[in-house]
Amino acid sequence: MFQAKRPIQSRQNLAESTALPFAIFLDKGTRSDRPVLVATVGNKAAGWAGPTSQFRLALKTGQWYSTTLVYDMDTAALFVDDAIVTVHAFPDGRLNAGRGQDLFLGTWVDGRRHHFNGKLALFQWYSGIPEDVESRLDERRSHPEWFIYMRTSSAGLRWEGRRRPCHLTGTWVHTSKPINVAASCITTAWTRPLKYTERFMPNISACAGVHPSATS
Amino acid sequence: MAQLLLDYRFTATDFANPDDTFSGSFTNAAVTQGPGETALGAFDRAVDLGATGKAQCRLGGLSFDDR
Repeated sequence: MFQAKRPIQSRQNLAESTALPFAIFLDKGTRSDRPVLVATVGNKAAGWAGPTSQFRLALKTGQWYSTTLVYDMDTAALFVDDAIVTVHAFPDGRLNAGRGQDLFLGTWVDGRRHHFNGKLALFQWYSGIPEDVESRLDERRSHPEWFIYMRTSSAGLRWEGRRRPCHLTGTWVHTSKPINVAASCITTAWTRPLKYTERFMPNISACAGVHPSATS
Repeated sequence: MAQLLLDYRFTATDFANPDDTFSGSFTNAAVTQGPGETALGAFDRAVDLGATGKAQCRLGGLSFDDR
């Protein structure tokens, strides 16, 4: 549970662990007083990646929030104030081995960088996932965003950074270059942003080569 | 079944699990007013990290699920 006090100009770590590779941090949003919340895990195949609140939730400085990172097999989910914000899928869910045995609060793992200038009220770490939380994460596995992340991660691409924007599943995401597996989606989105509609669903399915309803 | 491994409520700059395990301490931080009543409970206090506040906690022996 945290409150950012001042405008966010760069990454500010809420929590990061070297025992189990995860990080939860704030970063600069479209405005410095509208920070982005990011939760990443150190995935063996994909590297550090995870869900972000960018383009989905407008956080404000000076306001308290609770946030939760949930990791289940191949999917990381970000919750804010007990509502799921988004998920990030990994084709290979294995995490990197921990490089240490420490939890850092308010700083990066060197104790110097990415300082959080704000308030913390609560930090909890569960082994296992509460049932109601897991069911909400599982439900997102049928969403187009989950399939897009799964396929782009398979191709070794990442949806992060300040790159070319496209519009998928109702939110702006970013790609480093045109993506083979989703070329038609990206091409379409570049010329005319699409919203998450029934019409868009078949496009995603065609791009990803799999239909959400055809999977378990 | 979810098991709570760490349960830190930052009412002071020193913190630990309710059974005093996995303790840690904030440096360069100050106790401040918390968010009050929330969906997760009442939090009258919090820690303000200010310009340089931080904490590091050793988790040796903590058994977690990495899947």
